[in-house]
Amino acid sequence: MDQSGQQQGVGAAGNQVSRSAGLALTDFLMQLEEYNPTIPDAVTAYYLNSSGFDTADGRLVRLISLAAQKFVSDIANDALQHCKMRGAQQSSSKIKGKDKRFTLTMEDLTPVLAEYGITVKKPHYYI
Amino acid sequence: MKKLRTDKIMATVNEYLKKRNLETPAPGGTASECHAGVVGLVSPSTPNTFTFSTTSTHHSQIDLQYVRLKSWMMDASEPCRSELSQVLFPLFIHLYLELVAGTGRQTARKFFGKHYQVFLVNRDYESILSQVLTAANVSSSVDMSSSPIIQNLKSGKYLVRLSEVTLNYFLRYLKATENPTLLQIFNTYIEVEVDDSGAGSSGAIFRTPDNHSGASNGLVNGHTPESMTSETLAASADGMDCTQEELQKVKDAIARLKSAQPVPPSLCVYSVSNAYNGLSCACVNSDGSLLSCGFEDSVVKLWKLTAPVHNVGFRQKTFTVGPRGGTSHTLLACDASRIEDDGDGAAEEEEAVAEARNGARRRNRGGELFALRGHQGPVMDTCFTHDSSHLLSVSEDTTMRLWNLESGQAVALYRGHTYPVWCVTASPLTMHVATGSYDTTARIWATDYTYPLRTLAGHTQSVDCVAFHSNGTYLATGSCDRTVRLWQVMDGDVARVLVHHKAPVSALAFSPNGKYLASGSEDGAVLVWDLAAGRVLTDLGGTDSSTGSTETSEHLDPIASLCWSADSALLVSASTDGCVRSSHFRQTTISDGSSGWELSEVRQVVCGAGTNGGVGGGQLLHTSLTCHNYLTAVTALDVER
Repeated sequence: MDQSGQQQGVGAAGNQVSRSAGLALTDFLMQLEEYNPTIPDAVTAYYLNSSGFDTADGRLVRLISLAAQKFVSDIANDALQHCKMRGAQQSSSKIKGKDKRFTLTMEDLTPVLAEYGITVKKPHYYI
Repeated sequence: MKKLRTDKIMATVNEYLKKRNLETPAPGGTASECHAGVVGLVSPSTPNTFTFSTTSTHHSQIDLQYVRLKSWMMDASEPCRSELSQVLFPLFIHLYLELVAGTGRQTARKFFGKHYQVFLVNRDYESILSQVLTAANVSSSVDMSSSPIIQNLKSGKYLVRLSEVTLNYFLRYLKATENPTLLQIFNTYIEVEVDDSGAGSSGAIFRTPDNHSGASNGLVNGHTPESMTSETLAASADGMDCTQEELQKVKDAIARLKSAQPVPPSLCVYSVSNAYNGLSCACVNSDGSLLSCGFEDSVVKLWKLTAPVHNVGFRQKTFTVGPRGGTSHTLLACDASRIEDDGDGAAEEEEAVAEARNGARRRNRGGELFALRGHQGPVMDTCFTHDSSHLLSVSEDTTMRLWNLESGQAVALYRGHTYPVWCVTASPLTMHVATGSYDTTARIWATDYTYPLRTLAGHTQSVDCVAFHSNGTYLATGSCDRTVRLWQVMDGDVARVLVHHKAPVSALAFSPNGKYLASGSEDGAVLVWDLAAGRVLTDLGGTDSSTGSTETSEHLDPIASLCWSADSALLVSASTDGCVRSSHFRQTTISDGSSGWELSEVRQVVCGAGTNGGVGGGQLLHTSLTCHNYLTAVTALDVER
C-alpha cells in the first residue's frame, strides 16, 4: 500500500513502529468504507482543494472528514464537561431537576479552544 | 402582318384545345374571345395546371433586352467577356427572326440595321447574316420558314463552349434582370458545352441534327471569331505587364498606408461565465492558444483556445467530457474546442475534416485541460513562460508555483515573500521572473532556485504590477504609493523613480521598441513615459493642443491592462468596466513649431456586457496582444461581489 511505503521511507529509526502504524491505518481505511462521516464528501473535498490538496481517492477524503468530525466532537465534549462542572457548582432553585439541556456558550467554549491552541476573542458588541 | 398574327394565335389555341380534348369555340371568334377562352382554361383547378407563358414580345422590349445584354457583356471582366461574345451572335439572329415573325419586317429591319455591324468583322457571321436577311425579306411567313437557312437555324442548336464560371455568371444575369425573350431563345436555340479548359473563346460550331442540305454544310464554322474578340485579347495581353500608371498607383497606395492611422487589431473576447468561485485573474499565452484563470478557491484552470500551433506536448492529452475526477465540470463560452489531432502528421486538412465531421457536436466539448491545485489561497496572477511549456502562478499564500503544462504537475514552489503576492511576469529574453507583493518589495527569481535572486525594496506601499523591459535589463514596478520605479535587474539598483500618477498604479507596459513605458492607474489615467529622459510624454484623454478640443476619451475606471502593438504605434488600454480603447501614439507638431506627442483615440469598444442585463455584468480582467496580431480580452460574467 502507498501509505505503508511512505511510512517506511521516512527513516530507519522507529521503523517497526511506523510499519505497524501504517498497517493499522490501512486496515482502518478499509473499515472506513462502511462508515459515512457527518461532514459530506463534497464539503471536505472543497476545503481540501482550496488548500491545495488534490486527490482522486475518496477514502482519503473520508479520512480527513472523520478527523475533522472527531476534532469538533472533542471540543464539544470538553465544553460540555465545563458546563456540567459549572452547573454542579451553582445548584440553585432555578434549575429544574436534572438539567437535560445544556447551552453551549462562549464562556465554556473559550477556555476549551485555548487548550486546543485556538484563541478566540469575541467583541462585546457588534459594530 | 396583323392578320398573320391573329391567324397564328388562333392556330395555337385550337391546337391546345384539341390536345386537351376540349370543345373548340366557334371559328371566327374575335381574338379577345379566344384570349379570354385561353385564360379561362389556364386558371383551372390544380390537377389541370398547365404552364403557359405568353411572352408578349413587344419589339421595343426585345430591343431593350438585347441592348442591355450587350452593354453588360462589354462591362464584364476579361475571361468571361470573350466567351460570352460567342453567345451574342446566335441570340441576335434568333431575336431578329422572332421579330420578323412577330412584329413585322419594319421593326425587324430596324433592329437588324441597328445591331448587325458588330458582326460584320467576322466573315462567317457576315455570310450568315446576308443569307438570313435575304431569306427574311420574303413576303409570307410560310415562304420564310421554308427557306433552307432559316430551317437550319430553327432546327438545330447553336453550340457554344463556355467555362462553368462564365455560364453561371451569364445565367445569373439573365435571371436577375428581366429577359424573358432572351431566356427563351437561349434555352431553345443555344446549346452550351461546359468546358473549363479555358478554350472558351474558340470557335462556335453550328450543329445540325441532320446534315442533309448543302447549304447547311456551308454554315459549319470552325474558325475562331478572332475579330470579335480582338479587342479583348489585346486587353488581356496588357494585363500581363504592369503599365507605368499602375505601378505608380501601387506606390501611392503604399505611401498612403504608411502615413495613415494604424488599424486597431481585432479583439477576441473570452467571457468566463458562472465564475462563482471567484475568478481573480486571467492570462492568455502569447500564441493565443491557452487561457489560464486563477480562482479564489486556490485553483488554476487551464483551457485550450485553438488548435495547437506548436503541438507542444498536448498530443497525448485526451479530452473527457463531463465530470472528471469527481469535481463538476462547467463548460465555458471560451471553449473554442477544436478537435485535437493525435497523429504526428498534424496535417491541417485532417483537422479541418474532423471539425467538419463533428460539426455541432464539438461545440459542447469542454476545452479545459487541467485544474491545477496546490495553492493554499486565492491565485492572484498567472504568467506563461515564453514557450508556453510552463505556467507560473502566485497567490495570497505568499508563494509562487511553477507548473508543467504537459503533465499538469507542480514542478516547484518558491518561497520568499512574506505577504500576498499580487503580480508575476517573465522576462522576454533571460530566464528571470519578477513578482510584486504586499510586503512592498519586488523580487527577481530564476526558475532554478526556490529563493529569490534579488529583493528590490524601495516602495513604501504594496507593489501592484511589474513589467520587464524588452531587453530584459530593466524592471518596472508600479505601486500603491503612486510611483513607478525602474530597477536594473543585474544590480538591483533603482534607475528611476517616475512620479506623476494621482492614484495607485495598476498596469504597466513597455513598448516593443524599448523606448516608452505606458502606465495606468486606478483613476483611469494612462501615461506614456519617455525612458531616456524619464518624463511624461503624453497622457490619454488630455486636451488635444493642436485642435483645442477637449474630448473626454478617458477611462473612468481602474485600468486593468495595457498593451502595445508590435510596431509601438498603437496603445491599447482596457479598464475594468470593459472599455477597450486603442490609441494612436505619434509625434505631432504643435502650432508654434515645436513637436509634441499625442495619443489620439482610434477605436473604442466596450466588451463584457453582463448576461443579466448589464447588472452584475462583466468585469474585464486581462487584455493582451497575441503574436498573430489580434487582441484577446478576458471578462468574467456573473461574478457575485
